[in-house]
Amino acid sequence: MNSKLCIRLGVIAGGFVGLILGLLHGFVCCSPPVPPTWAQLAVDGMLVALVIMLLTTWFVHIVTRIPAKPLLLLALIVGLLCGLVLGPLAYHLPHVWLPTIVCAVLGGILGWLVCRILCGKARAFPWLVTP
Amino acid sequence: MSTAPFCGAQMPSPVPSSFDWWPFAAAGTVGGAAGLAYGIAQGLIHSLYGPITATSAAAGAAAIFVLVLYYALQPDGCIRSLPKGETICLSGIVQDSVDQSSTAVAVLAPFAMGPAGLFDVVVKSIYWHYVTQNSYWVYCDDLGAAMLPCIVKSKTACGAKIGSLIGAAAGAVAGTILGYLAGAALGGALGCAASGPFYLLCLLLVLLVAAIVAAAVTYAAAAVGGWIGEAVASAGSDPVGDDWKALEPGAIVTVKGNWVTDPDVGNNELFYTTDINRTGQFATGPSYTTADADSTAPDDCPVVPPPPK
Repeated sequence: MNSKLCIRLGVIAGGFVGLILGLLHGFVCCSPPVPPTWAQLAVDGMLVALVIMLLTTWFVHIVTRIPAKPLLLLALIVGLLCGLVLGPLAYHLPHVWLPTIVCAVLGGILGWLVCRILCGKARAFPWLVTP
Repeated sequence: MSTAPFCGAQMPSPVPSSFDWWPFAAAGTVGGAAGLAYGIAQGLIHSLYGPITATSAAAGAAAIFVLVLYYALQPDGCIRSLPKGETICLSGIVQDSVDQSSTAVAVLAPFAMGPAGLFDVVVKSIYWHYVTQNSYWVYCDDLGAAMLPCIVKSKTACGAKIGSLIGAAAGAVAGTILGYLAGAALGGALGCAASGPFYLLCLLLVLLVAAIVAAAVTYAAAAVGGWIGEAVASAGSDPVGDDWKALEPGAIVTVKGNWVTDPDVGNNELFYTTDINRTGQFATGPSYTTADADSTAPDDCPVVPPPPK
């Protein structure tokens, strides 16, 4: 079982969610200011993760020839989970580099967990198994 | 003569893989670049969301540059040296030959080009130890004969990687500027400051557009640089590549190369093959046995006894 792909997808999704949402740290709407809700930030995080995972899937499919459909499914599961969990966290972390690095690490862990839970011994994703 | 190798897994555990530190190092690099860019942008741009738009663009460009750098720094003998192995010589019959080149990769992602291809050699029994020693996996053909994969280096991959790296470096600068301009234009058009409860979503779209435009420009520059590098590298001779292209199943060959264990699968292989000497053609096929390989004429490889068990 090779969980490299899941970890990498998680790091990419988490890193970008951390970066983009981290850049929004401190921005609030309206007067008087209304802080964004957890749900808003989770949706924002999932939106970022969705865009990044689509682009990542396209690239990985071209370079590795892994079938696009299951790869996209895996990327969406990892990405949406990262967006949901890490979006609110990233918004509340100060500086730009801190949420990027923290969310990338957490994203890698989430990706690894997704592989552990969904794939088991990779019965569902046989291309991840070394021959 | 030693006992015949058994096919497939050689050890109870899979090949131990080292910690995959690359994505974490890349995230740290992009995060650091974003922090630096944010500091610079705050000093240069004095609008409400100008600095974050510029930072997002810089991060998009940095992500693509790190991607190109990742492929450029693979240990394939281009920028980083090959995995340290032993130079060996062996002989046998070519079972099959696989062209691993991809037009899609050469055009869309030239910096990610891998080897040109590989051929599997059913080795003579005196070379079985090259297939089995310290390996986690042994490849066999349909008749159960042990094979050693021999990988052939792409003539143009190295040029493409260096060209892409130069292109990505130049493209990152242009991409950051264009990405910032695109994001700022979109922010102005949408009027994020007046969007009320959709303020954050509006800013998010601006940041995404800035990052994607910057990444796209950097990627395009890397691709163009890679094509130029490919064109430059394609000049000149490639004796191993030419010999490999002429190989057919059944060819009797003596090959030399850098003998290593594949880090992912755990099989032994020649990475890369440095010399192919075709000495004949075996009559029958399509699969070959070790006895077939043993029945071919003696080769001129120096005799290396297998290690004691």
